[in-house]
Amino acid sequence: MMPARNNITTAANNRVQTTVICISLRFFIAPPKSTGYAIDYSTEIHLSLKRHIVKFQHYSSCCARFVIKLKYYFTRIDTLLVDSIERDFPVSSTYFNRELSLLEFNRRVLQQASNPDLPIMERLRFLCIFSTNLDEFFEVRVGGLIEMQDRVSPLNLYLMG
Amino acid sequence: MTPQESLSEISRRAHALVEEQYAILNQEILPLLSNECIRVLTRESWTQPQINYLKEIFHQDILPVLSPIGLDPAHPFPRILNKSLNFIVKLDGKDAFGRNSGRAIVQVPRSLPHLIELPEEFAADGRAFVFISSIINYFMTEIFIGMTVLERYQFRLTRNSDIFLDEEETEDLLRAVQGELIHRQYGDEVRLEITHHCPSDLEEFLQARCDINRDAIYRIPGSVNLNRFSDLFDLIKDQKYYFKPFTQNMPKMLKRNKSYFDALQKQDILLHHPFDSFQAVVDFFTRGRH
Repeated sequence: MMPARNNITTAANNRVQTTVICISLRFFIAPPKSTGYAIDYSTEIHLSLKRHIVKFQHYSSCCARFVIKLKYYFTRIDTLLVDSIERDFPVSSTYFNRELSLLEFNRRVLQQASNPDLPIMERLRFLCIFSTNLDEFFEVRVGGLIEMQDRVSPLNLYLMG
Repeated sequence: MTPQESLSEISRRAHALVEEQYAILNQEILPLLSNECIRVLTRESWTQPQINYLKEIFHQDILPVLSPIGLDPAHPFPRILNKSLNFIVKLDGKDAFGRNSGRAIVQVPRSLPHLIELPEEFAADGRAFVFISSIINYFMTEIFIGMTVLERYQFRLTRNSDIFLDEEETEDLLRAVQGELIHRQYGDEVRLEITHHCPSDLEEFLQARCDINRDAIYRIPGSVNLNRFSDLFDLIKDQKYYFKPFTQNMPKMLKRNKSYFDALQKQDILLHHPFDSFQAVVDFFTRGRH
């Protein structure tokens, strides 16, 4: 059975969610006929997908975890599917990491502070903005990551390698 | 990336960024401000008349709102307020109750401004500013009467303030949010900033008490929390140091025509906010009402 290739939408914002929905649709439109037990797992996969799509809105950085988990479910159905997921969603290179990308934004704020063309007090103001931005980054994003790290179940840990 | 991988990469990049931030401050901004005769004086550069003046301020306005906390093994480590600036103080001698605790924490009060300006007669030339924290630091011995203050260092703790809600598993969202908001003040420690010259024994002490990873510690070469400089924006009003104020544009067609409706009859008018004034829209509605 050859799975149909996904068309990954390029609209950056909706990218993650669109592709996730793509997978679930693909699976239900063309279930792998070569395997006898597709129906047995479909409910389970469907539920899992549904849950994860909701979770995505909470933290998109768990994307890697999701794809790995997805692979795990599909392993039980068809290895060909796993290959195609791997091809369509290279875990590390496809998406910007949400936290690191925010840090890069703050790097640009800091660059404004070192811009000699700006008035001096405005440069100082950019240093202040960088400080408060970083405070919030640590309070919310880093805090969230630490929480995620603590919440990871042994199964997830195993799946993440 | 797993959370673990993200965290270590964040730590690596954030350390580099903070280092860059203080390099910009110390090597570019502060010298430039000094050229403009705007100085934030450090304790080492205070003159005797300045010290006398600041001492009076310390006793009148600062000391009454300070509440130092002595640390001893019998009591739990105090819950440091999120993002507050504190001093860890190393003491020698016995306090009024004959206790020899050795360490104390002094929180810089949040009710006071971060910076104060010295009156003209105390500033050599131009304008001179002093951090409240510098004053507390300088007169630390006056807080611990009868004891010797050996060392004191600034530190600042950042706590997790993220709100975690599982919408699927939460039945009563209001109650869940209420619970999370209370918890928010007492989140886990995520970052510890300390003055760069803090010795390792005090660093380890704080690290252990705050239960924080080594790579979440940031050694700061300068004032901890640069946002404290933001008081300067209110104190220094001179326009030449700031961006030119922006005046919004009023479209020519609307200025020329007394009636907006006449103007609109002639041609369509496109407003580009916020560069074009919002006043045009407000006028449009108030005139339409009449």
